[in-house]
Amino acid sequence: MAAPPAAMTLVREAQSGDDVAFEILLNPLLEPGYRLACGMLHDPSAAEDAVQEAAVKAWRKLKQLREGTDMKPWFLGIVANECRSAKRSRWWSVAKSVPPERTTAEPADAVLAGLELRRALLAMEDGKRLVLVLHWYLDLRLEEIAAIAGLSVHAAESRLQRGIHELRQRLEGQRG
Amino acid sequence: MVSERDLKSQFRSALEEVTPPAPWLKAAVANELKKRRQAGLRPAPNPRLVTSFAAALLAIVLIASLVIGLRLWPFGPQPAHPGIRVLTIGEYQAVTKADGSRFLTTSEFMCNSFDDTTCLPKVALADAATQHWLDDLSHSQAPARFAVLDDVIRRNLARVLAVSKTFVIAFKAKDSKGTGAASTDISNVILALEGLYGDITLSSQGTLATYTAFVKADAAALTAAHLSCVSGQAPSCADDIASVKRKVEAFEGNLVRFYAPDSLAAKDSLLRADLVAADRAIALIESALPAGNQSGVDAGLVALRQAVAQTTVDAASITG
Repeated sequence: MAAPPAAMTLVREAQSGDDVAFEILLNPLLEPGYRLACGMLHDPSAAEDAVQEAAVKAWRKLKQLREGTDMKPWFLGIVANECRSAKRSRWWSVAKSVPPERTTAEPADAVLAGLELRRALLAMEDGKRLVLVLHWYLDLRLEEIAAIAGLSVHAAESRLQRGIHELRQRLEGQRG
Repeated sequence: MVSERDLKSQFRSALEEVTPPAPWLKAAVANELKKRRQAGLRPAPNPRLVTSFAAALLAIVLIASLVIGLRLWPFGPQPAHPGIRVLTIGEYQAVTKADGSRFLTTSEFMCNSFDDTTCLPKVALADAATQHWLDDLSHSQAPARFAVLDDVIRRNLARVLAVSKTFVIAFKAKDSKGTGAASTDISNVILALEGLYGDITLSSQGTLATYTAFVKADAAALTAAHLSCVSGQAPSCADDIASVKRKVEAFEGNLVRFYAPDSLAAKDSLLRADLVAADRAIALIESALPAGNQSGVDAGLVALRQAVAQTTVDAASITG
């Protein structure tokens, strides 16, 4: 996936050690990175940690980014890897933020439906969950999903379809 | 049936509920990067291909040693050492069930602050359970069916003890990043052990359909794994290898969880041997990586690619 010329210049500057250029490149990617991590982990505090670690890794590994490659799928790929590592953390967890309290009462059915869906999603294998989150939550195109997940476009599409099918089955199973 | 559009809408709503706004994230990341820079962390140099003759020669020697080593590697049941009894399948499952459940129960805790005085005693309890399991494995020999997983379990238990030490040091030093990193490591190892525990305690002979379905799915997952370690798309070599390792161990686990029908036992044995070869290659890479031994990493990668390719061939001969 090719990067626009302006971004390519910034990447070159960042690769040569310009920290400001790196942060200019990184900042627009933090929000999608955070959404991806929340979608994968369902834990805002763990998601923040995953994005922070991914940012540090991206900075450390920036010289591995190929000439002309778009930074977004590369960075989101790092976030996805961090999420795999952060899954089911044990022994140590410090809450950094508390999810805001609901200000409006939601119908109990909607709350239950959300819980069921998240439970079904968490029970799925990482790879399928990743493509579903990227496609439905981050609204990414198949080409971008393929680059992030390290798949061919065909394989990404196939995994997405299998993911949707499995999610349906799991939801139907839960709802009897 | 719910339409795809409705399912997508439910999906988004469900995830929005676990995605509160985090306006401080940008500042937090900038601060973290600043701290790492101030601590002397620098961007890693561009990975280079091994070009020098000496490095290439070393790689060839390592590959040759690996190939010879793998040929000599004993795959079948081994003669027991004096005083060490070979357990029956039922006995081994009983030991795994008792030791594994004690280990998993004592490892399931969470410390939330450095003022938590119950934290280190909990770590000590988990360490004792880990050592107990390891001792039981050392005083007996696994039956052939579990021999490969027995080796994987021992390695993972040793890793738990090592990471536990780093956790305690970081906790005593009130080093939040250190405890966080150790927690991530320990979580991955415990997760792997949890899977192995289930594979052994629930092991039964698979039907032809179950067995071939697992072989097909696991082989496809392994073949699709990233193995470049120098690609611009790979976040890091260690991540790639950790991911492949999880796939290899899961594959080995599934071959025990649903062991082969008698008609496929010979082919299954070849497949297991090649997965062990992949295990060995991963161990080689894991020991070379922290030492910055690029030749060792390259040699391990060559061996790992060969083992994975051979696994694909084995799987194809099983699934037709």
